[in-house]
Amino acid sequence: MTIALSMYDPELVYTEQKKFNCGHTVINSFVHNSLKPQVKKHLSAAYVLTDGAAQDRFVGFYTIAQHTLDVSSLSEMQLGSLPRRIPCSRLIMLGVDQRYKGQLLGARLMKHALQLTQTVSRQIGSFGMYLDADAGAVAFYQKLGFRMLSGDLSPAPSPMFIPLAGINPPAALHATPPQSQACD
Amino acid sequence: MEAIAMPMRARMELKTTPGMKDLLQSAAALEGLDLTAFVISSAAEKARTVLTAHAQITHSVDQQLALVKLLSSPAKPTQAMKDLMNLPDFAVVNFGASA
Repeated sequence: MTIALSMYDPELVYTEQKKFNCGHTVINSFVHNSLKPQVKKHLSAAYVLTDGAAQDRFVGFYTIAQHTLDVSSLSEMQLGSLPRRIPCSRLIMLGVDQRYKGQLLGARLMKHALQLTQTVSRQIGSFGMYLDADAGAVAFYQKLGFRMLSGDLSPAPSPMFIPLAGINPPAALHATPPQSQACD
Repeated sequence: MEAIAMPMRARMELKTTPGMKDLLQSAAALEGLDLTAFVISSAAEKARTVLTAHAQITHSVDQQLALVKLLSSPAKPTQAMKDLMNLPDFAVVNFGASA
């Protein structure tokens, strides 16, 4: 496998980033024009897939940021023990170049984003993952356990959320016993 | 406003149609502002809205309630989620020195 994942570095030039085409004009234009400044300004983090067999060509990516969902319109009764602002990870954009479709790269990027959400939750606290799903992607996210916060808003994006409990922990977390640290 | 006391060292040049300039000038005149102040203050307002929405989205009461219900009785991972989490991890590389 020649596809590898790395953290997007806005100081680097990625082969064919300006030619990225996932078939979605908004996402294409984001990759061509906005990805670099957005990450440079620390508004989000991005993870990128590159193809080692093609001069590390820019093949796919996702952007993610910490986010809060305001639920302060609700009464204490409705909130129960929840805070008035729900911290969560927000998946902003995810895309894979059309030339690399059919290899489950998008699904595997999604896995990475969900694992990151779990890690962030353990380390700094978070209630789950939020995203605004494109009309064409709602069914994919629903199968994964995301729920729409209102009815299907297509063709506009639909806000969707999955609580942390809906993301199953990677098998390794259960299967691997704690490794004993040997001192050198 | 503190911004007024700040030295204006950054420069922006804009190109537009005569009709658009006319429209903006008319609106600025009604608000008692010069064209620059009008354009900058309008754009700054929009910019703050966009930046706030990036970090915090305001949802309707119904949507807030739906979220709280989800969090109060979260569903277990679906089969599709389990399958997804069983997909292979990517090889991880590190370009450059910033990581």
